[in-house]
Amino acid sequence: MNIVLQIARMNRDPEYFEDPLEFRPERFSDNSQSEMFYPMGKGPKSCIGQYFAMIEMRVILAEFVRAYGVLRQNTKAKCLEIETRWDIAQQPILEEHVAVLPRKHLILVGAHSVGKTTLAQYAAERFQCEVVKEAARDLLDEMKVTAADLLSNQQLNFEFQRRIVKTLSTKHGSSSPKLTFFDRCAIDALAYARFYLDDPKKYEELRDMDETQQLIAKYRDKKQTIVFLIEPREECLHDDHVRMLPKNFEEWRKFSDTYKTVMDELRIPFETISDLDLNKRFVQILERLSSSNNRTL
Amino acid sequence: MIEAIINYFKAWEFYLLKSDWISKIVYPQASKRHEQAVHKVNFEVDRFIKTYLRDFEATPFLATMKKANMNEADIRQNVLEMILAGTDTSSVSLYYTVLLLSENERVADKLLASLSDPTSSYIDNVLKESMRMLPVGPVIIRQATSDCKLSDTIQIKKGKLLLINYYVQRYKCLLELDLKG
Repeated sequence: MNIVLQIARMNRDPEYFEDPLEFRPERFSDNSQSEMFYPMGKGPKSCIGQYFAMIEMRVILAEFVRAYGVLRQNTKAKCLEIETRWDIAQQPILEEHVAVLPRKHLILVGAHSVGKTTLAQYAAERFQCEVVKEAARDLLDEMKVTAADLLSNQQLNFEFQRRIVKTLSTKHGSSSPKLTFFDRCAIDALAYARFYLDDPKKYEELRDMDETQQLIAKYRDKKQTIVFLIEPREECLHDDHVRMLPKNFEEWRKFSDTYKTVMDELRIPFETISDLDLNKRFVQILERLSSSNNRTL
Repeated sequence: MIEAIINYFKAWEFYLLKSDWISKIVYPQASKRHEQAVHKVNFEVDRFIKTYLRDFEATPFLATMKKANMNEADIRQNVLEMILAGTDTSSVSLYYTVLLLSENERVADKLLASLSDPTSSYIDNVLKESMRMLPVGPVIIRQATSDCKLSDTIQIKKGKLLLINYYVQRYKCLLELDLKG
């Protein structure tokens, strides 16, 4: 006589599992809940590989979750409604498309008006992730100064960049371990100081601050961060009356090169984006991300 | 080998509901195909056993079975089960777990936070919970090797071919039966 134990049905019985259709791992923190739970059988004929399987899954899941977040593309059907067929194991019939997002911080830096904010928003929308906005605009309002004031007053400009770094160190330090875009970072403050402040000692003072050094260490770490430098293109030069605007394209170009000098000196690895097309820029970020995926696993 | 295992499962499903001689008459072609699949897997298991039976210390798995004084039939069955049950079960379980995590952000965040605490068993709970909701083995099939009485109304007899859909309340006593082997 064959006896069939309907494990799946038993697992969804409200008599043994409260709100059985809710995904709530906490129910197993209390051992009594495990009493009626035998995914791999029980007794002498239980699954011979169950301990190995648990260890294997624990290790793989932990490593995977640490490195990636997952975005399911099919949001219409809940996981519970996945259609399955019984092959070797109870397997899903339909292919699922999931986006595997590395838990990295993608930082977009570069001169003004190169399209950082646009690109950050465009990409973040596609990855359904967050953008940490630049600190400069809010700080200009807060200090009640304009970009022109900063250009004409060296001391004020230094103070401004110093406060930017301080703001960022609290903002960037507390950000979540998820894929996140950063519109500008402390590298920008350093590049501005290097390019616009006449006294090189002021740049060094800014660079050697504790907050700056902590942020630099984070930017250097390839496991946490990827820095993209967007290069200027003559086609998109325009004055938005808020930010500093260089007198001509040559100066703009030179300012952008300052970024490279600063990052090379600080040994921060970065990738340059020189395409103008928004989608091509996005694809470049995507490719860089997937190549970093291959390297991690 | 993977293909042989997949075909073996198809054969297993096929024979689960149809008796051997009926299927041979009604589905001669399918029957022949399934028979071949079973032979293929059996052949591989035989080859494995013949290679290693000379040296039981070759793997801890074999050494343990030897220590337990298992006969060749039992060893065969265990090896067969290792090969069959070890295919695609934990990988599909992990697949479901990852999907469920993508749907439950609260759990995913809590799991990530728990990973920095080595004493936390939250990851086990997550795995258990996903196996509870989407089990890769939705049923367990056992054959009664002797007569057995569950209650006044339900009796299990040896040798009869019967598929029983047990009612939920009965599970507990059935599991106890399983425990006794």
